[in-house]
Amino acid sequence: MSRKSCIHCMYFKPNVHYPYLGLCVLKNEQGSTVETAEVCENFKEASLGELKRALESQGWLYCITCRKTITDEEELESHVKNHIVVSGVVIDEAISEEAPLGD
Amino acid sequence: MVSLLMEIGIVLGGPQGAGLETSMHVLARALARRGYGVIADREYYSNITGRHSYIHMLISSIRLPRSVRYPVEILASMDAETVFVHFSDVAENGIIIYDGGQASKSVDDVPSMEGYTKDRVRGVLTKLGVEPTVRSVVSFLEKDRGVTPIEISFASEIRKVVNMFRIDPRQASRYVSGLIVSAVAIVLGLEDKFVRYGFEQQFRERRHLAEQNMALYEILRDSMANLRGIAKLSDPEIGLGKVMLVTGNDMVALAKIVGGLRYQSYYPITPAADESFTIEKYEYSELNGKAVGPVIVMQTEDEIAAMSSAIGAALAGARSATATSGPGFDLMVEGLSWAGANEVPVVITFYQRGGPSTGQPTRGSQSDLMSTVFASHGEFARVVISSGDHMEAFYDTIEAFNIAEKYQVPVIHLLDKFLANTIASVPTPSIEMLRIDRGATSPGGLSYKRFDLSSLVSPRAYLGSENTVMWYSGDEHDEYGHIVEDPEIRVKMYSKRIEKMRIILEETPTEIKMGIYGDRDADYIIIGWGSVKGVALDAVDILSKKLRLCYINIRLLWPFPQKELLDVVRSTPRDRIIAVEHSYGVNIASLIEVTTGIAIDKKVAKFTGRPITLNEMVEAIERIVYRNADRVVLNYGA
Repeated sequence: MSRKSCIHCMYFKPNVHYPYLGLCVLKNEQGSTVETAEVCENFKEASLGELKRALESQGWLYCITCRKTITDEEELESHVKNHIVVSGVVIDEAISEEAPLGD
Repeated sequence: MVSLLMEIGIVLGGPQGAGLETSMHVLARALARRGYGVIADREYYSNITGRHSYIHMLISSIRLPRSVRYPVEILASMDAETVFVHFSDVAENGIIIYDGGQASKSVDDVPSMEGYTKDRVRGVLTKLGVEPTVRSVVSFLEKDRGVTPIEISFASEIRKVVNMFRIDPRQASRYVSGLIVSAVAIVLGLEDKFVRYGFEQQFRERRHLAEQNMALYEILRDSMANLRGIAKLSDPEIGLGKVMLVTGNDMVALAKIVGGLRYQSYYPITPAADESFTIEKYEYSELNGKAVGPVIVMQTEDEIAAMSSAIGAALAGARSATATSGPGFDLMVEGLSWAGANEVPVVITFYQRGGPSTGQPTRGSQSDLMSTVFASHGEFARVVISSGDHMEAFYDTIEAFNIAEKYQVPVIHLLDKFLANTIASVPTPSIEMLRIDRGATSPGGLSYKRFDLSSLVSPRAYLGSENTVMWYSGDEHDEYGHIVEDPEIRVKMYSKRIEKMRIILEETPTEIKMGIYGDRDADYIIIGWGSVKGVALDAVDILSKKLRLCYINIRLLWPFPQKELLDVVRSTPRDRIIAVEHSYGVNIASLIEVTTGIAIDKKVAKFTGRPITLNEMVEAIERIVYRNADRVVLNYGA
């Protein structure tokens, strides 16, 4: 996948189950929609440096490929080469309506 | 692709917690409204969200389906994993609906698949010479099996509706379920008004969601115009009129309310808790303008308290029950013994799941038969009944209360996850035929003896009755309930409790003890209980062209109806009796041997946690009949 798509942008938070859908935190107020093939002028690549800074400030990142939370730099470096690592995800609040009990 | 089918099998698959339940409900409601018979088994992991879940449906235009089968005519996938896990379930000339955005994904790109599953899928694909990518699998199905691939760009279709209604992007994923419903409805050729009905019922209190999903349906309908009705069902001929679309949990909950339940306790556990939630939803009901109940539903701190509080409510005169599964029942066993010692009419609704220990919490099983019959210390009368389908579950729930109160014994209503979670269209139960028997009661009084030895069932006074004192303890007691260890009293009181078993057997009608289906003079008799019933009856029907088969559905599991069973099987050669169960041991065979002396050697077992499907049931019987197999272990299903 091209590194120049919304999924690789620091401002895009993909849905945890359907990462082709998600939220652009910059466009949110303007009614942002879903991931598109074309990136906008605000595109900011989720480079290792940017992700490290995000990890330091918020304490976690998320690997979309593995569906795992990343909590340290060593983990980040092992995932970031071949996976899609993001600084935030979207979880629909209605998810509880869809999840049968599992205890 | 064939057209005008009488029955269609469908698998809807996707990540748990991401819209699958909604898809099933919308589609099932739309189809039931159209007049089709619907059954849908729900399979899901226990980790709440993200893992592979699927809905296995059978839709019929000619009957109310009783079981599901493979292969299916339509596979509708929300994600790549569904394609990999279920591609071999698709019938020749069937249909696969998939997301074009996932086409390049390989098995290795799917994080939610267990390593074992990936290896197995890779192995199958390698043997077939197919690359482990969605695109390759779909191409294989198209070329090799004549399957019609329907590729939809989920992202672009959802983007249209998101833009049209300026939907919050955080909620965009909700429309994946609507997209799947729409695609399936289009290939089935379902009329728009029924699709609308499905959405409107599902989103009764959020009308805007119904409108948005209908808009999504219309967008898809236009773009899929050439595919509309390519798997069309023939017009429904069932003609039942009003039907209910319910789970087994729902059916038991409704029966409890109808049967006069006043207290229900529970500690949350799969697959039992949904029943309590449904009761809670309807705890304040009205009948002919008059308030019914209310039912008190209590979530206790654990199952020990759930059982104890249900006992307390029963002693106070309330129709009382608790609902649980295997691990919860283990904690209730001490209370069960106490209820036996004190002749408490309490009902335990027990939904079996895969054990031992936590086991497979969200998978089905029938492996707790022996646990319910024999659990607890000491000897006392208990009753264990089971139900084979939704309708039986309704009537048996009320019968469980009647037996409990008539004979003052604990009653275990033994069900399982398959029945609990399966949604089915069923006729509305006949309320006019119902019977409520609260047993012998007493107003109490100064000379009241709670455990009066003049009859096996001593008339009950309720705790709190005027001028009435009674004693309850875990110890052996006299007629008043006082603790005594006198050997003569011990013998009388101990015998009084146990001998109720005899009158329960004598007085319970045969049709409540067991159901006999098919040819009484059969070549082979199949014996099972609980949710084996539907698939067994369907198998008997299919094989009836070449075999005379009979199915015995045992409903009263304890005390065991040995006389009635012997009357049916006495003259049948032992190698022509087949026992079927969702367990390793096929424990019903052991129970039959213990109680009747008949050893059953022919067994069909399934303990994967997935339900027995019709195709494998038919094959199992054929292996026993034509290839003289003794034990057939089934394992079909993802």
